[in-house]
Amino acid sequence: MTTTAGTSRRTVLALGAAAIPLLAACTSETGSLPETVDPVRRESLGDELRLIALYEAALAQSSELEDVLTPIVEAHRAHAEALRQGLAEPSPTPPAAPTIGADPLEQLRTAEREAVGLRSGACTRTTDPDLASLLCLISASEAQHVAVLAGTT
Amino acid sequence: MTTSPTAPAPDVLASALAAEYAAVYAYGVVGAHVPDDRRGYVASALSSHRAARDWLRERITAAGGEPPPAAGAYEVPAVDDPTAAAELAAAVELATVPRWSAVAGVVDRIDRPYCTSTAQAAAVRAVTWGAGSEPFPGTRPTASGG
Repeated sequence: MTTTAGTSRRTVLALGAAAIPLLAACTSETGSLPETVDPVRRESLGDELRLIALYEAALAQSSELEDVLTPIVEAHRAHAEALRQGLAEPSPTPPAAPTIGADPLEQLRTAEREAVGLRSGACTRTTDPDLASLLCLISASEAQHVAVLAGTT
Repeated sequence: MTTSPTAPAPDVLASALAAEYAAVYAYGVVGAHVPDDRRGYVASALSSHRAARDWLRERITAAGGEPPPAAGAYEVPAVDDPTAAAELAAAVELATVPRWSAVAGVVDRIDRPYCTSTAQAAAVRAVTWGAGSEPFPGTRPTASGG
């Protein structure tokens, strides 16, 4: 590290100059999100967090379905983690604990069917091609959940 | 950024096409080893994969490319009973899912719904054939290398 002090300084200066437009991009307008972060990512993450809360509430109410529900809630946690990767800002606030009705399985089936639709729509809406791929893969996982829950009584 | 109006990455489409060719081939093997009450399901799955294959060939051609032809034969594990047939079917279904997710990232937005519905249908058929659900279907390395 004792070598090219001069070069290092020049490198730092060059980087400093290059960083200016980046900073400007980040702080322009509202000073919040840079334009490259797609709101679809945040929405989808929020929806995954709601699903996680729903499964956690169902599991807290009854351990009867634990074998079926645990791998599914783990999948939603993996989805949330993957969606969080592209977000510089903090995650959306976790939702309040949802109410579980008389038929938890039917409630979860409905939620998963809605999730497939939401993820499919988000895949089409996003302007970020990598996010489109991720949402397509997540929608396929959630379609599997619908099938698994349909076969569970 | 808008979605590129130019030709989608041909290797991504060709890779999905290769998985669809393999699925069509494998279902020929699967069909010979399933119980009678599964024949209809096999026929319907086969027809979905043929449609997906044709969709990809059209997109490659429309983009000015030449769709790669199917291989004469595909390496499949030995199948001599319904259990092995179901495992093969699940494996080829799962193999198509990440390819369709990649396609969703390179085609025009108007074509993405086809990618999501195709990926979802394949992932669900894998479950019907006995595979477990996965957070990212088809991306987990398998013993068969599928």
